[in-house]
Amino acid sequence: MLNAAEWAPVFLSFQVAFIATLFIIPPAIAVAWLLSRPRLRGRLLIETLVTAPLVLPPIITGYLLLLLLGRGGLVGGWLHSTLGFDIAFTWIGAAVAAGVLAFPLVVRAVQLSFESVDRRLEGASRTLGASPWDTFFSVTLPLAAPGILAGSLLGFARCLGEFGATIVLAGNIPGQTQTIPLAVYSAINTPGGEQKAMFLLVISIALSIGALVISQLLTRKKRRART
Amino acid sequence: MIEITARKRLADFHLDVEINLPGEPVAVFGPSGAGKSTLLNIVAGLLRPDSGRISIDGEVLFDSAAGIDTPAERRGFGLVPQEGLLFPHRTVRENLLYGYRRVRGRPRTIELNEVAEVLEIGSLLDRYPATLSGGEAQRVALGRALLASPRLLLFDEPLASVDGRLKWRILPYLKLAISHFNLPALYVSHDPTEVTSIASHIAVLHGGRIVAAGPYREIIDLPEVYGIFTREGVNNVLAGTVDANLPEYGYSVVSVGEATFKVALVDAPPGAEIGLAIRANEIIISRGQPGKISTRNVLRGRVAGFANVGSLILVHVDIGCELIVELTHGAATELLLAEGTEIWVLIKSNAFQIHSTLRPA
Amino acid sequence: MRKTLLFTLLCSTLSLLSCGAPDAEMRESITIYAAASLTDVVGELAARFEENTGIAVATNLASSGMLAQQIIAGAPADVFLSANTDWMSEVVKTGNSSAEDVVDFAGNGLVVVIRSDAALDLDNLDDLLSPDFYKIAIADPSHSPAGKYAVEALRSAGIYDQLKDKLIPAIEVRAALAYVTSRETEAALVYRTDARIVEGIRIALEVPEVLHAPIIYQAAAIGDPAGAAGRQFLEFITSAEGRAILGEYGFTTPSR
Repeated sequence: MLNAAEWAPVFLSFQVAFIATLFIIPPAIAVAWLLSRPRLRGRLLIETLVTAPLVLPPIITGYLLLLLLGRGGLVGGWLHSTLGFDIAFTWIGAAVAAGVLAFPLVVRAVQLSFESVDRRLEGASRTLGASPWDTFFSVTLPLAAPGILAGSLLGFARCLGEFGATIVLAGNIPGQTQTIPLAVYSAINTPGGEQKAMFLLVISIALSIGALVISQLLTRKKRRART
Repeated sequence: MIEITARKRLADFHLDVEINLPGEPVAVFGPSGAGKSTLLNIVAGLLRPDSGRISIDGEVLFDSAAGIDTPAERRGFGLVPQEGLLFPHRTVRENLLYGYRRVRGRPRTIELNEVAEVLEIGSLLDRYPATLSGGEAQRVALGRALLASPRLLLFDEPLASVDGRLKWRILPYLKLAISHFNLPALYVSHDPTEVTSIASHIAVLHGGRIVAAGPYREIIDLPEVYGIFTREGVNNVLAGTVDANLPEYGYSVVSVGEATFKVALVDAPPGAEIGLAIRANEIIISRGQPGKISTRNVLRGRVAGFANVGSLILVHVDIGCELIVELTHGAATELLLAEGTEIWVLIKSNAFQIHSTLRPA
Repeated sequence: MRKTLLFTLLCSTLSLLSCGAPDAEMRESITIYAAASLTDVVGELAARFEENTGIAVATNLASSGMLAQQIIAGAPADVFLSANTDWMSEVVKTGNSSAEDVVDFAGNGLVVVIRSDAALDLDNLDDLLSPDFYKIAIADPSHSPAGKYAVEALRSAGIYDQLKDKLIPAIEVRAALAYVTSRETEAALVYRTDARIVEGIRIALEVPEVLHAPIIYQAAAIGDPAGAAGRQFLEFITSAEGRAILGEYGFTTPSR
C-alpha cells in the first residue's frame, strides 16, 4: 500500500487540522457570542468579514493571505526580517489557510448554540450575584458546549479538506505542507499515480465523514436532552 | 425603606412610576402589558431606565442624574421569575447554592437547611431541574433566590404559568418565605386574588403609570382600578375557621369573623383554618328578608358604604365580616340603598371557592 | 412591481452570460497541449502556423506531467509538446499516439536565477547550501520535467539531501520563477529560456549539463491514427522556419 513517506500527508493533515481548529475556537467563540447579542454596532461589517472566506473562492482567500503573510507582505515581511519566522510555505501557513477557511463555519455553529441559550437564565444568574463574565462561564458556555463541540468538529472536517488557499499560501511541499487534498492533487496529475490517489481518497472521505457524523450525533443528542 | 423612581420609554407607552416600599410587601397589580415585568427588570438592574433613582435604606443603587448604576450582581435583589429559570445543567443543590456562593459585601443570613425545611425541598436536592414538577421547580427557584441573602425579593408573576389548584398550594410558600425570613418584597401579578393574599399595600399599574396605591378595600372603589379588576374578577378573600362538617347535608359550616357560611364539604377537621373566596358579582342583596329560598346562605347585615365605578356600583356590606358586592346602577337605585341600610345577603353554598391555604394579607 | 422587474432582469442577464461565447468560425482548428516552459514560443509558433495554413490554433499550457495525465484521461489534444521523454513514452504506451508520430524538436538548459538586485552570488551549485539561500524554488518534480531535471542535477552534485528541506515545489517552472520575483524564495532552478522572459531577475549560474540527462523536447501528434493537421504542425516546428523561431527564444537544436 503506502510506505512511511506516503503516510506523511495523513499525519500532516491531522496536525494541521488539529492545530488550526484549536486556534480558531477561542476567537470563534468570542465572535459568535458577539453576534448572538441582539444589539450590536457594526454587525454588518463583522458578519461580512466573518462570512467572506465562505463566499470568496478559496484561492482568492489564499492569495489575500499570501499578500499579507508572505515574505513580501506587511506582516510576513516583518516576521521574516525581525523574527526570522516564516508563515508562507510552512505547515503553519497550511494551518492558517485551513483555519481561516473553517472559521466562518465554526462561528455559525457556535452562534446558533449561543442563541439557543435562554437569555433569561443569564438574567437570573446576574441577580444571584454573578458578574457578566461569571455568568458567561458558569451558565452560557456550559449550556452552549455541545453546540461548540459540534461546530469544532465541523471546522476540523473543513480543515482536513482545505485545498485552494493551502496550495497558494503554503504550497505543495511533500512532508511539510502537503496535506491529503494536495497529495491527491499531485497524485492525479502524475502519470502512474492513480493507486496512491485512490488510497488517499478513501482515507480522506473516511476522516471527513467520520468527523461530520460525530458532529451530527452531538447536535441531535443536545436537541433530545432539552425536550 | 426602599425608594424607586423610574421612567422609561417603551414601545406602547411610557413607564413612569414612583414606589416606596416601607418594609412590608408591596404588590404591583396590573393587566398584562402594563409594564410590570419591565419595572422589575429595572429594579433588578437588568434593564436601564431612561431616568430614575433606586435606593435601599439610604444606599443609592441607581441614579441617572448622578451617573450611578450599580450592576445587577451587586444590588442584592433576589428575583423569583415566572418560570423558575433553574439552570438545567446543574443539580437542585447546585442551583440553590449558586447565589449563596456569590454573596459579597453583606453577611449570609439564610442557610440551605433552613430553606430546604421551610420550602420542603430537601428531598429534591440531588435531582436535575428537568425531572421536577412545575410546583417543585418554583419552590426551588424561590429557595435559590432566598439563599443569595437578598435585601429585597422581586416576584415576577411567579404563579402565572402554574395552573389552578397548584397555584394555591405554592402561594403559601411564597408568603412564608417573605414572613419567615422577614424580607421586603415587591410582588407583581395580574391576578387580584394572588395580590390581595400577598400584600396589604397594593399599587395598581396601568399603561405605565401607577393609577392607585393603598389597601385593597380603598383602591377597589376607584373606577379606573375596578375596570382593571373586572377582567380578572373581584374576589372577596376571607379567612375562616371550620365549625363543623355535615356530610349528611352535603355542606360544611365555616365562620368568618362573626358571620357563618355554609360551603361545599371541606376536607379539613373542625377548628382548622381555611380560606374562602367569593366573587363580588355572585352575591345577591335583598332589602327584605327573603321567604323560603333554596340558597343556604342568607345573612343579615348593613350597607357600610358604596362606590360608583362606572357601569356598576360596588357596595361594601357588613354581615359580621366585610364583603364587597357588585350591583348594577338600576338595582342599587331600585333597592334604595344608602349607608346604614339594613340588607340581606344571599350566597349559594357552592359559589364559594375554598382554598385550604389561602389567606388574605 | 419594481422588485419583480429587477429580479427578472438579473435572471436574464445571468442566463445570457452563462450561454457562453458565440460559436467560433467553422474552420479547421487544432489544440496544442504544451509544456509550461514553451509558453511564449508556442504563441509565436501558433500565430505563424495559422498565417501559413489558415488552421486555427488553441493552446493549453501546464507542466508536461499534468498534460500527459490529461491526454491519457482522454483530453481532446491534437498535439502534445512535452519537455520530458518519459511522459511522452507513457502517452505512446497508452495508445494515444504512435511512435512514428513523435519527434524531438528542441533542447534546453538549466540555470539558477536570483533577483537582479540581490547581493548574492554563486560560483557553483554547492553555494546553494549557504544560509543566504533561505528557500529555493523548483518546479514540482512529480509532474514537471524542469523539477525532475533540477532534482537530478542536485543529486548528481551530491547536495540534494542537504538542500531538500529548503526546496519549494511550484506548480510549474514559470511559477518557480514567480516565487523569486515575489521574494518568497531567494533563488529558483529554471530553464535557461525562462530566465530571458522575466524582468528583475538574472542568471546566477548555468547548471553543468553533465549533472542531468539531456533536456529534450518532444512533439507528438495525438491520435492513433493522428490527424493530418496535427502532423502538419509537427512538420512546421521541425522546419527551418520553426527552428528559427525556437532559436530566437533560446531553445537549442536537440542533441540526439
